[in-house]
Amino acid sequence: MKRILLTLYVLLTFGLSGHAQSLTLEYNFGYGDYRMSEMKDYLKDAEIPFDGAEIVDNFPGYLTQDTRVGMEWGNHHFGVLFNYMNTAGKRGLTDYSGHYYFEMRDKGYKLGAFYRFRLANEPLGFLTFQPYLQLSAGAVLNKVKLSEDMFFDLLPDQTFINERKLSGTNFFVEPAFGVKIGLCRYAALNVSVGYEWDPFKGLHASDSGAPAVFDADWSGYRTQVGLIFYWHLKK
Amino acid sequence: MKRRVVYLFLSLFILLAGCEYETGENLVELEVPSADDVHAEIELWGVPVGEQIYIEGSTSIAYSIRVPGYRFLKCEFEIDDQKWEMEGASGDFYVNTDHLSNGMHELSCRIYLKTNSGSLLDQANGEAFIGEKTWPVKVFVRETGDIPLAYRVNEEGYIELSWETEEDLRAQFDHYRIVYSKPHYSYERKIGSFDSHTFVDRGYVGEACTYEVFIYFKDESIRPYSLGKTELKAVDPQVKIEHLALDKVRLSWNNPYRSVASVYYKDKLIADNVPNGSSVDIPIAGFSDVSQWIELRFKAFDVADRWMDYTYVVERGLELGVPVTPNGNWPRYGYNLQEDRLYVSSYNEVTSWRLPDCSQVAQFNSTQQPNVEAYAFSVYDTRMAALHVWGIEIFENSSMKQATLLSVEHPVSFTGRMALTKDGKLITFLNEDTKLTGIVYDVPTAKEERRFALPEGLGSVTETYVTPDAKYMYYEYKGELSVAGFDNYQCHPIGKLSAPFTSWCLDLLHSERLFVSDGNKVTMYDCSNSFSTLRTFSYPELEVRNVDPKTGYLLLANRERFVILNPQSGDELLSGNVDTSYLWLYGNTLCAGNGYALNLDNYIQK
Repeated sequence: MKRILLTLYVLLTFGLSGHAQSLTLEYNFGYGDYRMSEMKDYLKDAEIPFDGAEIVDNFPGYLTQDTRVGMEWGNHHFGVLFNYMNTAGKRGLTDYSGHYYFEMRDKGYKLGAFYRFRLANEPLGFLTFQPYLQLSAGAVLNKVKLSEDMFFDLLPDQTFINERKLSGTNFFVEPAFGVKIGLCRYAALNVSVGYEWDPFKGLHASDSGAPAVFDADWSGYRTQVGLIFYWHLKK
Repeated sequence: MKRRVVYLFLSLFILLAGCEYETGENLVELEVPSADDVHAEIELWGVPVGEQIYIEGSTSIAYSIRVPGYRFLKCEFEIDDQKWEMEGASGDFYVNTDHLSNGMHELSCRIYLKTNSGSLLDQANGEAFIGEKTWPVKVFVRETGDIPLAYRVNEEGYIELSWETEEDLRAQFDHYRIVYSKPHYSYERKIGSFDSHTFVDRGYVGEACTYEVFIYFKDESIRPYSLGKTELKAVDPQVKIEHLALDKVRLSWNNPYRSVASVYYKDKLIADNVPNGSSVDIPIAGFSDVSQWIELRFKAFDVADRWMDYTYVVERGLELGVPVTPNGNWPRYGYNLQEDRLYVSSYNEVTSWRLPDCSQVAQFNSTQQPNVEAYAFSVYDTRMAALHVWGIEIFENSSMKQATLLSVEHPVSFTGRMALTKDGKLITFLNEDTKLTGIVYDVPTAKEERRFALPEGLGSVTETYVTPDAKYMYYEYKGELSVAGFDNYQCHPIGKLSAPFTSWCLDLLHSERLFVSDGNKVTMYDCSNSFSTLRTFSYPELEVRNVDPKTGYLLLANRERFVILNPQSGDELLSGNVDTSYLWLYGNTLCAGNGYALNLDNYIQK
């Protein structure tokens, strides 16, 4: 780890001294899948007061939103990121008389930093082809909502929705490989593939602070496509 | 710039919100149940149910609902603003008529049955087939009151009720209603004339009951109300008991109400339809271990009016004699000839009684000794011995101021009857290791004087007795009755009774004389040489009980009957019916197991 940090320091020092610098703003739209093993178990084992309840959603992979602000010079690119992920688990049933569902909805807000090292910069017609390696790290702010929803068409007075909210923080590391395709001097198309690993996870009741019996594990593969905009600061 | 930033964040928020994962649903296709073939049966009890239910006052109504093939969830009964939600298929609910006006109402029952469709609502017991049934209800309540109702016994001996009515009710008047009630029974009589203000009930014979008079109106919405009410206590018919004989009483009574009575002795009809002022002779048990009673079942004098009766029970005054054990608990009787005193004990309490009047002389409570097991009779002095398990108490006379205790070291099993002899000894027997040993106590010194062995081979005897003159010993061994000479504590066999026997007793004053019953006859033997028959008396099914030391009379008895004989003359002096297993004759006094003693001086002519 110390070697990696030392290498980054050397690269940044050399780069800043001799290459052009650009401020970057980028937006990526992507897809991620999530492990969520403990929440899947909890959903499967939850006591449902009705026969016939089935798991409808089991924390599937879903779209991600990613925004990054950074500084690029030479082959180096670093900055901060904000990322939004969400998924849900749901178990229950609907029939002619009403419905009953137990739902666990997860939202993860990632705040962190990233570093990219450009492996090459090859012209390709009027485009440029720039493969890179990326390492992102930071925290995931978890927001989990458990809700029990019962509704009877004929007995609206027996309808109820019970909700419980949980929150907590995970720490993640995400190595990735990507390609930037320069479209012009001010914009580039970005494509990346990576894997997020959450080594530290935490979740507790928002009101009482009592620890939850399960964690939100966002670990999983990530693919992203986006645009990077450049503001060139100096040559 | 600020506007751009706001637009930026707004766009970002919309983007994020629009990207929230949408969950799906698990739609289960179920057929909506239909209730075309549901049949429910409802039964009501507690009120008259015909074409309409008739309610005269606040009441409980019981119901039972049957719904073959369906599971009952609940039902709801409703009448006006009263509603009951019942969770059982059977039960009852209370209709309070304070909240119902007189007139027609409707009682409805809504039944909820489980559909078994399997739907969410069905699983939550919220889905039901609903059936409904209604009944017309006529509420006709009358207001009871606490105005006293006047009554008297009229010249003919019938109860006569009387009341008053305000004149301005005449126009609305429909009828009076006289309500008679007692537990589990009631009846009503109507009087249609406004000017009638009396009612004579020829059926009333003195029982505890309630009379109440109501006024009813032509307009049924006006609640009838009470004009008077009286709660009558059962009359005391002034019963007189006269003892005609030891086992016969003459019963006479006077019921203030005109009536006849059926007379029962212990549920057996003795006389029927006996008018007031008469008397009935009733055979009873002279003594009874169990309670005996006479019932007077009063009925109306006229047959047509006999819709009720009144039973008066006579329990006291039937027993003759004096209760010498007030608690009646398993009395033990003893007798001393010299003082002519009767001894009676119950638990560890010993009482002495003067005869013939049966007045108590003294009472002695043994603090150390448990129940008195038996007494020893002295025919030579005023002593009396009471046997306990742990020792023997000797009383010098009937004042029982102190007792001489012949204590034993260990609880012993005394056998046979004790004898207080002429020379101040007490002789008794005890079983030790199936061997019978005689014990002689010296009463003045309260010491055991000696022990003596009985004839060889004589083991655990059933009954043993040494006569007070210490001349003979009678004993029952292996089902045989024997007599032995008893001289200076040495026994020598005299004879053995060859005939079968069921009971025996001896005459304390004539020690050679023995009375034996074989179930058919009683034989008097002279045992001075052997069993020489002196006389026989034919008394089937009677057993010999004892010979009265005072009179020499022989008492024969069984559970139901007794006979007192003069064995010398063979004359039957007295007989009677009893209902007791325990009967003795001491000092010309019959002593019974129920704790009563009756002196017979007035019954047996000397």
